Amino acid sequence: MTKSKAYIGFITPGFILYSLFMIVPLGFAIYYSFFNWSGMGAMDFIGLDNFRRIFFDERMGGIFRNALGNNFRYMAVAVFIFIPIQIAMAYLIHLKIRGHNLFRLMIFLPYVISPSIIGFFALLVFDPNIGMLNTLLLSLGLQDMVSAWFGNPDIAFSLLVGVIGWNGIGVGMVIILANMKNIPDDVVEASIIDGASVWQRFWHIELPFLKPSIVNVVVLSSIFALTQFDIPFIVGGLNGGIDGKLDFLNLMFFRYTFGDAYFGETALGFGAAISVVSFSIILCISLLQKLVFNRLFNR
Amino acid sequence: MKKALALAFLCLLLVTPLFAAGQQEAAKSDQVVLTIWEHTPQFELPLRNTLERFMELNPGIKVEYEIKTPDNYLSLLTTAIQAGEAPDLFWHHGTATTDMANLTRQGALMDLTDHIDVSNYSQMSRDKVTWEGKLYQTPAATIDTRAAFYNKDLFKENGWSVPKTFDEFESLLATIKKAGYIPLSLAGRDNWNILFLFEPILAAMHPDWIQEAAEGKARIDDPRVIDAMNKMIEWGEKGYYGAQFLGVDEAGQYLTFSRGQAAMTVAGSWTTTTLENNNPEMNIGAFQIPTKDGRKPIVLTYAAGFSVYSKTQYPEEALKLAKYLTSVESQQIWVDGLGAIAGLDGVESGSQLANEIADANLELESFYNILVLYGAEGQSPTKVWEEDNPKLFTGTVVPRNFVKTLDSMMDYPGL
Repeated sequence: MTKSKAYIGFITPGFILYSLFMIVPLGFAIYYSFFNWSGMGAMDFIGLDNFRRIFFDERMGGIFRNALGNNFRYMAVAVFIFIPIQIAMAYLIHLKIRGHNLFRLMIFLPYVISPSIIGFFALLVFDPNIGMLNTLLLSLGLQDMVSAWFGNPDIAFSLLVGVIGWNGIGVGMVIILANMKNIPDDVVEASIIDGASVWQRFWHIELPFLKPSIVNVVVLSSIFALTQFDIPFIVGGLNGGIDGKLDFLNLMFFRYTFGDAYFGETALGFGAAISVVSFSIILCISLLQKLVFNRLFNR
Repeated sequence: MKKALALAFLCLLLVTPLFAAGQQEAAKSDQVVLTIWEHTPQFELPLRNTLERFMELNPGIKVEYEIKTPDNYLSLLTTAIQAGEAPDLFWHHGTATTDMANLTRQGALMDLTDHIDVSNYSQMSRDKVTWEGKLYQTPAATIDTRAAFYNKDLFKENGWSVPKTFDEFESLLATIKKAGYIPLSLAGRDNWNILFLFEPILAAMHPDWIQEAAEGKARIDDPRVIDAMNKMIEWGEKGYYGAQFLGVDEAGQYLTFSRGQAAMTVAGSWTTTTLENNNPEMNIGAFQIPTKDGRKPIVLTYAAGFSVYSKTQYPEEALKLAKYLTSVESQQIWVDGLGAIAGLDGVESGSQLANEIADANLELESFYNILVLYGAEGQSPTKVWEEDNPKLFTGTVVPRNFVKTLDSMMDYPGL
């Protein structure tokens, strides 16, 4: 093998594995999406009818738009609220404020808690009858503030976002913090000698160095937002919480593909169509983000 | 020489037990190993007890069980069947859902008709496991129903008594609320727990509708169904489920009752052990919500058992196990393990509480089963029911429109 072709030998094993576990299942998902199929027995070819149901059926279209809307709403929160918070927290820890090691541990610790334990915490804290929060409010005489929490359609989504944020906000912070530690000391020292304030130093010197990690966190947060499943499922149930306020695309996929807990009716064909739509949306958003970041940073 | 002989003898002594152990291992490896799948941890105890007894009776067969979780059971089973690697025996919903039709169409189930005698089981029980005149699954002697569980001590303390009519039941709810307790804890965000409350309300208010609908002679959008839905909503508005019940999930419903905050809870009969384990100190009773004229209706669904995989490597042993699973002895072990209600002659109910649950004089079909039985081809009214019933309490869905949507997905044979 000549030197110029050596790379083929290196990429072939990875390419085979990638094809086997990514491309082939994706191909099957696209194939199944054209069938009415429960997962067993005969497969009826129905063309694009599954996609028509997702987008244009009165009931299903409504469920789909609601779930996708929740994904987008959560993505907006993750990108425009969580990331600035993650940068701020990372910067404070980077500045080594008093107790920074403890703060870092406290912020990151919830991430290691499994979603099922979070579901248990949610029961302990937010259950309207036996939860700590309502018990505390009642003992303080704040009856007006007692709520159904996840059962209150007006606040369920915000509460969920808060729980997911509490659980995972430390991850982005750690990525950004690692990037901060790589900022050359001489550049920072030069800015201090030149009399730059902490804010000026952050805005003009350090933030531009953070572009790679911020881009990564934006892309990862967006994908995470569009693939939400476990925490909404645990705190809101398979039907997406009260009035569908906690419904997400992946929950909808699971609900229709695999039936449910008691009397499941599986619909693998329809589920495959939801997964194809979901994949296409994630792909489009990722490509769009890549395009935007390339334009912004390669000027 | 003597030393050498002594050493050889010693070696022989040491090696003999190893050979013996090896032979024992060989005997064990001669055992046929069957695998059986169950869909929920709730049934682990009765399954384990049943299999232990079976293995005692059949030392040549070892049965390994795997307990899955309900959320992904069907997907796992489907995948295993597709791959030709399904367990020798497995649980499924029988004819209660499309499971039986799909699995038989796939050729995944062994025909048990000529191998197992189930003539001692009730017709309702046999219907659940029979498809196109052939037996494909073991029937189960346990009856699933719903009941109003109540805190006996709290009732005694406050001088409340078990209601004899529907009106008495309603006034009891108001009395309990006035006393500062939650009358009926309910998981308002769990569609199944809402179903298990709605069915007894419908059975108590309009048993005649259920009797007609079970034969396909009454529509879902009947005013009697709307009436029962409105009653369930009205109780929510009156605070009978607690002020914030929309935020309560299944575990919260049971714990509210078990901690003594709620005087009653309406739930499936299979939750008996959960409620007893939550608070072993609590003295729990149960009754069926009575009709206006004092009858005690009970919504019955028979449980289903296990099917034998058509491609099992050990058909003879798998059939032996299936046969045992239908025996009175096996069913008694199962009923005892669950504390369940027995539905087979010769099998006694698992507990005093089970007997109280079964104290009824009017057997009725489940509302959910009616949706399954008469759902039109290609339609899934059960899915719509599941997704939308919690919305009845928020007003996003109103009973009149809800039943119309369900009705449009039905195909009634008697109309």
